[in-house]
Amino acid sequence: MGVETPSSDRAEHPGRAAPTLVLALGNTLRGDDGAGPAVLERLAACPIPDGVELIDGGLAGLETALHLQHRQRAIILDAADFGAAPGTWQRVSVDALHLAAPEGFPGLHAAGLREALLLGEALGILPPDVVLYLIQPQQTGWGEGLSHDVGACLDPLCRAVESELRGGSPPPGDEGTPRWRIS
Amino acid sequence: MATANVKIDVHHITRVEGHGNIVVDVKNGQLKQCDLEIPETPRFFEAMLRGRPYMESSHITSRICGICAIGHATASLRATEKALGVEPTEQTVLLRKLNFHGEMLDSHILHAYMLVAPDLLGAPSVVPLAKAAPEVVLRALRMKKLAGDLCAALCGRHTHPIAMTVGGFTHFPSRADLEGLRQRLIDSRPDVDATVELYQKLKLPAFERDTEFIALSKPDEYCYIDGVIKSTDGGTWPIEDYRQVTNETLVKHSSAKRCRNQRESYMVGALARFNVNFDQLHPKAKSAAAAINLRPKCVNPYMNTAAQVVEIVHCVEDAIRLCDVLLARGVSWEEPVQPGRLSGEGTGACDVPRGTLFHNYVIQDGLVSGANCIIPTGQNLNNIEADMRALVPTLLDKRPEEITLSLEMLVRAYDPCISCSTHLLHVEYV
Repeated sequence: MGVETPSSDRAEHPGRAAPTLVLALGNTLRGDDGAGPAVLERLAACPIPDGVELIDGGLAGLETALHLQHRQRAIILDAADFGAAPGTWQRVSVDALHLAAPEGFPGLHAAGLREALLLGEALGILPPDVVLYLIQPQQTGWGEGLSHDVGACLDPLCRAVESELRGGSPPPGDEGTPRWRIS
Repeated sequence: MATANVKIDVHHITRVEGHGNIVVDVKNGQLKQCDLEIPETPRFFEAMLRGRPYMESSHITSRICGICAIGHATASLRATEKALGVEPTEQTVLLRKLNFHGEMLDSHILHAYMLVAPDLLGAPSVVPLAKAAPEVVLRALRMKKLAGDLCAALCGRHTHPIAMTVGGFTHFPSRADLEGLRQRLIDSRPDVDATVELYQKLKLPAFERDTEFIALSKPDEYCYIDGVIKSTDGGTWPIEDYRQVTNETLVKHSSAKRCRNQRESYMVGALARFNVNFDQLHPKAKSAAAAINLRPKCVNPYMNTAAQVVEIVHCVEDAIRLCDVLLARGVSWEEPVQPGRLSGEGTGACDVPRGTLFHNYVIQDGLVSGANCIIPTGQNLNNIEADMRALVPTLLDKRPEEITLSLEMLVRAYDPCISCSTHLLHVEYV
């Protein structure tokens, strides 16, 4: 299975969007920020069930909301600094995220995943099931390639996502009330 | 009843890029203070360029802005190419024009739908607007995605392009890419028509103040890249004479420089281009202008957003035309044209979404030794303040919150990119 770049417009059409989306976000030119796309690349080499679409969403913008439209389930892979050891990853339901910012909707000139999810929620186009696999980076400076610890987490993370796609039990995650704030 | 005393202090105007404050003080019916403060920290991009290889300039300066990254890259490349005697090929010129349309569409859709429409539809921001009128916001997202995909197909990605280089491109769209984009542009026409219909219905504030409008111009096309500097007050200047037009000065309440030409201020941007270059617009864009009651010379700055909508029509139609031209002639792999020399001075200019952008570089032995970037928002600041000074006395019978909203909407109409405008101070340690 190949990885779609965001240039296709399939997701905008109800009949063409696969029910399950795996969306990787991150800049592969910024070190461990490329962890999501790296996991996606490994997934693409695995036998993925029918009805699953893999998209490398690059840098998230408002249009990311359109990728989520007409889906039943979305799994988002993204690097996130949550204060853990590099290479630690966490499965978090969208219900466990604080999406609304206390200062109101942030600037649209620098919109990212949070703004896309907020907008998707307001538009009523978020899939019923949205989970995020957040990966703790070590460094997100200039340059390609992942740090040792983040590189080492790719295989177990890929296996967890693949298992979830096949209907296996997801790894323990945070499904509860909003505790996570992304920005 | 006239309000004798009004004090407005808006810290950080929302739905603009960067930080700007509106400060108005009216005492006994007399306007004492009317400032658009720019408190942003200077960013020293010109200083960053000094000592860097000329090939890096477009990549460094595209970081000035996340919206006009292609515009900055294009102006930067043209400055470098002129300095080093590089003449881009016909294919490069065509690809740059198509690429530029993608960025213009992306920026104008963002502004017209997500920054301005909430004011006109009575929503505090795009999120409540999405709940109240989801079809409007979904249309905007669809159009923005197409614009971003167009940029990605041509220059690798929209924000901070990676395939644009001195003398050409390092990546080329395939025939299938161009055919796909062409079809999606054609399919987007109903969304474009709906955008025009939306702005036919929305009522932009009525306020007029005559001013000088400045844009790049060419006789045979609606100009975004190169051309000459042209004023509605009369006069044209070669791009290299940009300092004679911009005449930058400093004011105490702004970290961004101010500009003036033949009057106390001038305006750049979509409305300026519309006023200067109306004849070169695509016929469908002219029809759209007529439909939303926009005619040159329009001196209502709030209509800048209407002019952006007209440019959306123009850019979609011209992008389809450019796809046709590129498909007919074919796109082949071309090595970038190499410089004929490694020292020289050059000025590049583009009309980016917010107006005319200048980059000037001095290059010595392949390294940048001097740089000057003049950004559209900086050129508009004097004009915004002049509008505010003319507008406030007409609003004194309104409640302070209504005055504040009118002033915020005025500033937003210019689509200011304040972070871009604060690039400026030359610092010497003595």
